[in-house]
Amino acid sequence: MPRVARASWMGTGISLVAIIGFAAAAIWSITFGLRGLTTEDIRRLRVQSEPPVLGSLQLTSSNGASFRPWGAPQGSRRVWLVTFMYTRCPTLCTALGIEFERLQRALGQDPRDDHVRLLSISFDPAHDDTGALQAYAAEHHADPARWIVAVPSGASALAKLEREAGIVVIKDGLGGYAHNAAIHVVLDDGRLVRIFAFDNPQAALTWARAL
Amino acid sequence: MGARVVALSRRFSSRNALLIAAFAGLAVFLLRDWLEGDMARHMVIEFPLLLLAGAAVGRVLQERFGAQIACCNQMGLTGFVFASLTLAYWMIPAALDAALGDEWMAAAKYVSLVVSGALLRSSFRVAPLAVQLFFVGNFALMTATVGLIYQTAPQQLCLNYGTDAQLAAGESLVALAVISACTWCVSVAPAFLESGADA
Repeated sequence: MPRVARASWMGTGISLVAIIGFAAAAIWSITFGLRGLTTEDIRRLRVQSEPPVLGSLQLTSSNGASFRPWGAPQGSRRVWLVTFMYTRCPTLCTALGIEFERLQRALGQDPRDDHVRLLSISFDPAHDDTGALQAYAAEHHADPARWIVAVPSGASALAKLEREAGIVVIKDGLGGYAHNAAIHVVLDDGRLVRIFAFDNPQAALTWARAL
Repeated sequence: MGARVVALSRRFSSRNALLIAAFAGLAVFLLRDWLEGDMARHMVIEFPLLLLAGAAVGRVLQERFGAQIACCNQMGLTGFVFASLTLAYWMIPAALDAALGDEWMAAAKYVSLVVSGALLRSSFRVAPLAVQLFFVGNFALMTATVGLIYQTAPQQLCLNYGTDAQLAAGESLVALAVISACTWCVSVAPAFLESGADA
């Protein structure tokens, strides 16, 4: 083989090794070690290995009270099962509401679950005022002692929470929203430690019960 | 793609190539929100526009760096491997989401697709038909498979696009795969027939 051609093949070989190595690293990184292909899969895997801490959050509940669910200076055993929703949602959030209604019934039957609270947070503050939250809570028979329906106090608080928890809300083109629906397990210190599929609340409860 | 594109590109002067690169680049820059607001437009219009901009830039750089590129691109392998891996990467839903939520990832997407376009142009000029067939076939198969997965996935794959947009993107990707494969076949047919006649 002539020297120029050999050098050219060597250059091609080195380039190929570099490109394939770089691509493999990039794919490994974006798929969280080849364990997930979607952002939602990876979000759930990531919180298991590196639980993010949600910042202190001011919420307004359906009865108009202002409160902070986590980040209190005195830590306690309390565990929040959190979903994100908007009250006008005809599909996923209604299903989430029904699942939470079932969970609330299950919680009432076992005194070991006293530390577990349900929290539905609306990401649609423009529409979900206290009245809308109250209607949603009433529709699903939410007992305020166990299940709080609330909205972040202020747009910046909502944006911060969405960023920290990895919630993405997009318009569905029909006047509503599409969003990642799931049950988030948040400890009293604000650590988001697990995310469960919205249609598997029993797994979330079993996990929260063990905490 | 292929021989016809190569023949056309030879006729283009550097100035025309610069105009094409500027047009495609400007289109992406100005229409970015519209293009990336829909999954199908993002993948089936923006990606090819960036490849086109890259191919035009490649034409401009050819005169200056042609020898250096050729020395690392025997049979067009480097360019084809780079472009295949780049396109495969940006078809991963998590990567597409990341490109929408992170400016650095967005920049990586633009740069990698423009470089892919430049390298593809160079590769199509030097690659034997068998090598071209392998990579065009691989691209078409990969794109069609991803398109079918997007159409049949029961859940929302990208957080930034709803299931309706996902379905439309899946159909568009299958169409893109078929059109790319057919375009390549038509473009290389004369060269293929010619080589058959010589034999």
